[in-house]
Amino acid sequence: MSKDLMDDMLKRPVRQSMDGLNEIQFGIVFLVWGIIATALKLWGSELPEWMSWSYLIVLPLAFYFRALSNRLRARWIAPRIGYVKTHSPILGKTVIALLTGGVIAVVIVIAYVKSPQLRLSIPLEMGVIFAVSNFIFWRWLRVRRFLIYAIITLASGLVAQWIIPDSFESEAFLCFVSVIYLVGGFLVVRNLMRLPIATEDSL
Amino acid sequence: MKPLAKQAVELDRMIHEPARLAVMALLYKSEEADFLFLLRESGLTKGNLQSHLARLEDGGYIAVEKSFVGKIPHTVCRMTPSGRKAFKNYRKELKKIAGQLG
Repeated sequence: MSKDLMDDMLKRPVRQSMDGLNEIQFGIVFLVWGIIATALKLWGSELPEWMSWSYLIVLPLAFYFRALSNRLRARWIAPRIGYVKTHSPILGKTVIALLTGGVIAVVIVIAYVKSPQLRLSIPLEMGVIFAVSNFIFWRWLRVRRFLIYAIITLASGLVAQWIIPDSFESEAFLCFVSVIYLVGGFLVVRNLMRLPIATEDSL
Repeated sequence: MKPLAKQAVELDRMIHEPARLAVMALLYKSEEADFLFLLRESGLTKGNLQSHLARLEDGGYIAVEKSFVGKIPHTVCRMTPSGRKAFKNYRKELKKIAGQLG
């Protein structure tokens, strides 16, 4: 077995877990986020003050959809393509990832506070961040749809930046991205659902 | 440094067999996987996979758990700590040999 083939085999458990449900999960979270942001912008002044905290609903929603997608995966996907549980995140690595993410977030916030110029192109910057993340996923796992996501998210950033009116460009970008992930995720799940259910007896 | 031929001969033969190497590689990055996943990803036949899983289980490289989901048999495999260590060593040795070959 060549080194490349072995590397490919080692990536397959992670690749298998990219079964479309993750994208649907992200899509719903971004859609809710986009809707809340749009509603607050449109009717913010008429809504009670506590509504400005409604963004926080995204967090429990993300955890809920994670649990839900695991259940759906066991019920719909695993009987068709098999079950694999990838390693639970290692505590040390998780802490490092959280710290790195925290530092990056602080740097971004400071950059935005200090530079009004940066604040003018938020959708484009978000488009670049999403595109780079998707591109990295594509390079790592070689799942082609992530390259397509990278191109479309970048295009969405450009469209939101230059075509959508200034006051709604970030919200529009979030809604675009949510639609991209939802459509992509549904297509993948639909294709997987077309496969016959296989049991060890029937193989 | 050992001669190349000696290093190659000393590779873990239980893992070095291509089908078992595929199974070990698939299980290495996962906590557990079922028979269907291993069958699909390795491209082996059912009987072939069963026999290789049995050999790896006998060698203490993997643990196989057979159960029933309703009336349907369900086999889940996971790598044992010694199997993980053996696979890590195998990869290290293989990389060394590949490095010397250029």
